[in-house]
Amino acid sequence: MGFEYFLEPFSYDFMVRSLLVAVMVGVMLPLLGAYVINRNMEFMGDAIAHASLPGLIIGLILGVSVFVASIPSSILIALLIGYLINKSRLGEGTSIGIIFSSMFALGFILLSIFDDIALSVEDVLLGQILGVSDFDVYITLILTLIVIVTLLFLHKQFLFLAFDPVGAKVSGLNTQLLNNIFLILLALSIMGSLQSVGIILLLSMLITPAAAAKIVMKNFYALMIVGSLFGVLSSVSGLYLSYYLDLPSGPSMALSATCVFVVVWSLRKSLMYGK
Amino acid sequence: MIENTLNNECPITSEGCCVEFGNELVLDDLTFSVTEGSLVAVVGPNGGGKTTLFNVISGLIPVTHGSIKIKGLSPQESEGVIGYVPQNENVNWNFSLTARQIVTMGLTKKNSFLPITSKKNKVLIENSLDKVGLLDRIDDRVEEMSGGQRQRVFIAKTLAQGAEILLLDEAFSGVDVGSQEELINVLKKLRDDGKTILMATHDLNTLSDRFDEVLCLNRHCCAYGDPLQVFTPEVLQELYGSHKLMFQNHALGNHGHQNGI
Repeated sequence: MGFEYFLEPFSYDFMVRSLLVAVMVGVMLPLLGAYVINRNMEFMGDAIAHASLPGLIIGLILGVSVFVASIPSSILIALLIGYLINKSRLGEGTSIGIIFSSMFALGFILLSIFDDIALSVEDVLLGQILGVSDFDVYITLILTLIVIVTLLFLHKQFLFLAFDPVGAKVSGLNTQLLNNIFLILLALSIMGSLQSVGIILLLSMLITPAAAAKIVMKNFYALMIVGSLFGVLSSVSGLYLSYYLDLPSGPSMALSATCVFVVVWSLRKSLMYGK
Repeated sequence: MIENTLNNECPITSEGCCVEFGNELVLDDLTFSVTEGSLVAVVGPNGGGKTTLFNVISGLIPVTHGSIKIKGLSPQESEGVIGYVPQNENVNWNFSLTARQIVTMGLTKKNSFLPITSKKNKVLIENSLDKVGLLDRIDDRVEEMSGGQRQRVFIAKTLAQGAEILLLDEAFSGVDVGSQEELINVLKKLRDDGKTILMATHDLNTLSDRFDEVLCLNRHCCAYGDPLQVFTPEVLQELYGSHKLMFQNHALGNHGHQNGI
């Protein structure tokens, strides 16, 4: 009986697609989230999500998939923020804040000008995983594979860059290029997750599972893997909540992630894993 | 100013090196050469240009005028020759890493994109930690180690990298006297193995016991040579006297050639 309760939602095609995307988002975001929380880049992640709004809307205006316009625009925004941080004396928070707020504002201006486009603002801001198409599943799969494969081959370089940036540069690594690749990965993972958790709640899936993993795992690579497990647990349980209780998917996943965090925090002494 | 003989075969040779940051002349007409296989202290006041000099030697900052050569090549051409040991506060300790993981970073460039570490490199990592006396702590977390032990782990990383010249920026900062002795003994052994080592330090009292040569730096080279001989009252005045007095003749575009101290 209980098992059927778990399987029943997946008699519908849209729930199978949602489950696949939920699993991929749950894996992809915490993998990068492990770096984000240790490099204090949370604001950067939030900013890329918010600044993607004009790209999403331009995609809809042009009548193409939201990915077609939003992926290149989010990559450009991520690189622009990185450039401003490096080249201006404004500081990271200020540079991010300027781009973040201005692009988010531009998104709403476009929305008010092109008010005939079929777009639910609530879905864009809070996510609506139940509406993903086959095409969305394929695109999310490709983005997830790009993130995983790149992390697999560049994890030593990324770790060196994040831990000791000056040492990495002196040893001959192209730190500027590596940083840009990391920002592009972050932008891709955020774009692949927007439909699930939306612009506003994306941060919850990016950092909360990784933060929960950091409570119990000291080893950084273990933190990434356990963070992804917590991410999948959060996104899939959020999907069930959304289905059975008719709740919006994004907030359900975000609150599931918070529940995982609270449980791990409460049990941290017995769950703490040594080296 | 005391100058030793310029020699392109020297590990580091600076000829009239000047560095400008915007409207500020940070290094002025720096001329010295470091003897191969020597342990060199770089001393001077805060803001005297020690870290800038290390950044120039590392190739992180370009020279505005003059030149710095690393074994006859520009710093940018001598990639991998320089091993950099950062100050503790310049490392992101949010990442909880073991000594093995940090030393492995020294192989990042050579090891390119392989996700796993080869047996040969594992041996290299163990040997590097053995040379700094920390093989028994290879799987311990570095943030749980003392300041001196952390420095030794970073030195092991430069050994794994195959660096011939080691730069240590304020390595004694936050390190107790006993750990300083352990650290300097490790550095002396590496010096005896042929490494050339430059360390920025503020501790003038123990220079003659610990170092072979000293570079006195206050935006220009006040003196270079044997620690027992270079510290004349005039050099100390140049090093730690009034900054205003010191820099009045080191204006932008002058590069110390006209009326430089």
